[in-house]
Amino acid sequence: MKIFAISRLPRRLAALGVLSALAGSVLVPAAALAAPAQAGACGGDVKCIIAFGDARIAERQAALTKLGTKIGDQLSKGHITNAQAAPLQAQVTASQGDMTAIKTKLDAETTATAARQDVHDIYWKYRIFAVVIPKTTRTAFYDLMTNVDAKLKGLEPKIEDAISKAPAGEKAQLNQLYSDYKAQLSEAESQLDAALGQFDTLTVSNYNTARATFETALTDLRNDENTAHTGLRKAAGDLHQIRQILAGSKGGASATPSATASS
Amino acid sequence: MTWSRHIRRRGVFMLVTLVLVLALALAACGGRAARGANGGQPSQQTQQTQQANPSAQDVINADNQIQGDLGNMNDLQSSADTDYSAQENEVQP
Repeated sequence: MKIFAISRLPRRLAALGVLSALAGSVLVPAAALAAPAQAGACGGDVKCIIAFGDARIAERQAALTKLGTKIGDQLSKGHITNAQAAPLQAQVTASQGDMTAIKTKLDAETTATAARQDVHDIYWKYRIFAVVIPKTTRTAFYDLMTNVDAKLKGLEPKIEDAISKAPAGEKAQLNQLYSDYKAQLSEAESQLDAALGQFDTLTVSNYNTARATFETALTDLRNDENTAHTGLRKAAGDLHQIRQILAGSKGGASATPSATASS
Repeated sequence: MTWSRHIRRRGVFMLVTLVLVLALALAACGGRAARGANGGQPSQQTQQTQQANPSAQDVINADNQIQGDLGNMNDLQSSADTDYSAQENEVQP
């Protein structure tokens, strides 16, 4: 039995060797790819620095493409207007151009020092992830909420008229809902006004040199927008209840107009 | 001769009747299709609403649209709340 086990030992060692070689072949390229992420890992290897910078540029280009698609989608569905979409798309296009330009510059570098400076600029000069994408997305969100608010606000005369013609027994509840509707819209509008004041502080310069100011403005903007969003959702909830009561009134339409039309 | 003329007359009469019936059937189908293209005739209930409280129908239509907008607003909020700042931590190769 022992002789048998010993005779198998070289085979086991050979199998172990093959496995180690396989593992090595998988791990070594992974380590080589990750290596440029370590500070100074490229040393004086210009091509290594360029490859690292190109990878960071590619990440930013992919995120910008996604953002551009999102803005285009909002525009095509009519959620934001051409006038609102134009500056957002211009920002995306400009940033994509910046990334293309820095890539051209980086790829042509012949010294490690110059290539490292370009990599530094990818972060420092453009701040795609820290400034461009959050600011542009928040602007689109702001624009969208402004449009929803305008729709809800514009509906007020219709709601008032509909309530005035509703059965007397339903007017108290309808007026209560309408009162909350107006209060929620008012709150959303004041939050949107406050949000508007934060955008100018969200600059690359402030991110680089006045980080606390930048972070405060971004946090305030996030809170203002999210509170406005809550107000608009509540107003929409009030509207939905008003609709259900009106639809249930004598002579009112069905809660689902499509079903009414087909009946 | 008289019998054959009689049979021919009956044949023509039946053919005319058949053409008339077909024309009426086609006209009926055409009318229905035209109404369908216009979104169908509103139901009696909807007509009553529009006559009794026309603004109520506007509120209902607006609500349908707003409920659709809410989903889109939630999606955009989710995108806006995504934090990418970790990718801005500078690493030098």
